[in-house]
Amino acid sequence: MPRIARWVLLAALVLLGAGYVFAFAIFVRDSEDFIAARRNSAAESFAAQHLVHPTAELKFAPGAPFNGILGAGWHNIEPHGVWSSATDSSIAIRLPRGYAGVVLQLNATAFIAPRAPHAIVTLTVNGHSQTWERNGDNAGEPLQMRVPEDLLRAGRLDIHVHLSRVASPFATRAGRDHRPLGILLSSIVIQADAEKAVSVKR
Amino acid sequence: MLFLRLRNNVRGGSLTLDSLRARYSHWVPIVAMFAISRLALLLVAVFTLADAPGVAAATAGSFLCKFDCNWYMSIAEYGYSTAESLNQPGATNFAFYPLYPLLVGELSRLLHMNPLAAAVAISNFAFLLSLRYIQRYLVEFCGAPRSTALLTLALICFLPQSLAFSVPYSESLFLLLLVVAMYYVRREQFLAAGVAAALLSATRANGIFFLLFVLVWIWRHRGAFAFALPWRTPEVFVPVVLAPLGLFLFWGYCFMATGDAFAHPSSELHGWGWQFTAPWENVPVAIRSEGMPRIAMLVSIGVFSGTLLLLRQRMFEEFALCAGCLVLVWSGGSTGSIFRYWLFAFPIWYVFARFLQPRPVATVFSFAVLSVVNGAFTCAWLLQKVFAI
Repeated sequence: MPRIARWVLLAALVLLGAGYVFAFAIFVRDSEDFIAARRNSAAESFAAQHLVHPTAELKFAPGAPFNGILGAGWHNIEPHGVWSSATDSSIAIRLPRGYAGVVLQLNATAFIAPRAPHAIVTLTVNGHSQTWERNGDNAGEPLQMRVPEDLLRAGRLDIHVHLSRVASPFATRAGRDHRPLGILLSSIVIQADAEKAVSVKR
Repeated sequence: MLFLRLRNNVRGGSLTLDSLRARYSHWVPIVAMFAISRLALLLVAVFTLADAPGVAAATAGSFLCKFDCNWYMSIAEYGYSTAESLNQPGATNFAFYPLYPLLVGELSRLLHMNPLAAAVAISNFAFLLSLRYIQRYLVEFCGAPRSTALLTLALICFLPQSLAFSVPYSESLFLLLLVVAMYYVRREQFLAAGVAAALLSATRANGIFFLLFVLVWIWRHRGAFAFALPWRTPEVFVPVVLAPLGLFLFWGYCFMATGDAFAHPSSELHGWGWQFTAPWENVPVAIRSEGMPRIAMLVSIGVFSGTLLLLRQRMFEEFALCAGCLVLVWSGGSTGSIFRYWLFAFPIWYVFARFLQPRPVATVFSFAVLSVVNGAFTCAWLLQKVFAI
């Protein structure tokens, strides 16, 4: 192969390789799991049509009225609640306008097993995060978070649950269930912040 | 082209029975093996369906098209869609790579034929052609005697789930493109190898593992200097750079269509529960499981031992390819369908054929067992048993 042809070929190959790198960077930066996005969008639409009036307890069970607020990252709903299926899961809640702040409480139990003794749960509400460490002693303690007025954007509560890991009971020798489990969410309690409560027209 | 060659030979007076026999004699045992194995599967299908309930009401298409076939047909007929399956939430046809359904769609439109018929035709034609390429590969580059090469082909024809080569699945096209890419790398026709490799990565995700093959080949045949001084022999890198092209084009299409370049893994995660798990975590779990996942995992370990024998044969390139693909299988969720995930790994079957060649009793016994298991899998597939996916 002539020398010039070799250099041209090499340049073409380098160009194509650089194109891959560039395209991959764009894909990683801008891609969003389209099924998760669709589920989150469906949850937001549902939440917009089903406003929650504090104080309220939203239970998750087959046929419960607020199941639709669950976005991506959840297994099918069971009688005792709903398990998160991934390290990231979402919930959309909408309140009527006018609340000065709310207290959010997730009644959830982290999946803890001898081979998975710890879990770190991070709750992010409208971009504000709080983290808990869960183990065998406190796995079932509720996750409570105050959402002040400046975070309550026109009644929106976009809740994101991040877990350090999910594990299946079978893989951790804790049972026969092969599903990856994170937290078991049985209900969410939303209370108007007593300190800053203002009158709300229902 | 074949016709023109024949016509020229006739005009030139060189077309004799002997020349024809010499030219096409390689095809005879291949076609025979192909026909016998496919007819055997067809017979199994006929006997299975004779006793199956609801046969009278069903169409031939409904028996030929099960599991993944429906997804491929949906792409071939209507294109990609983000619509989820009603009984399998999260499952979309983005979980399937485009080349095979694209070919099916084009062929059916070109010849005005039923897409299912086009799919079956493509699968079987690709399988037949891949058998010939495998034979040439083994004889020309692995020093295999013709009889061992034929025994390898026979193994491939009778392996459990080899039905996947004849039904509307992408397995046979994948096998063809893989062996063509490997063949042309070894013949040092790098552009042909690169084009085949690019098509390969547009057929199935694991096509990208061809890179392992070609990188080891460069290292062994051109030395480490080829990587340090690529301007000296840039042509050897043509297959390396072209191999991911199919994958990137599909990612690009997914990105444009859904906003998710990785729509394939997204759909596999939500629809099939497939996600990457480290093999050292996944393998023990599968072995502790019950039923088909355990059997499939144990068999995969047996198959992996075959890849180790490739090292003994100094087939390092083939080892890298086969081992990489098996590790990928071990990294996913364990299902019975993984049997067909290693059907394409013909170098492993070559090693087993070498072992069987001088042992006629073991050969007969092996084929008897493989045929029975293959028949059982065919029955299960036709009756839509989940483990035969």
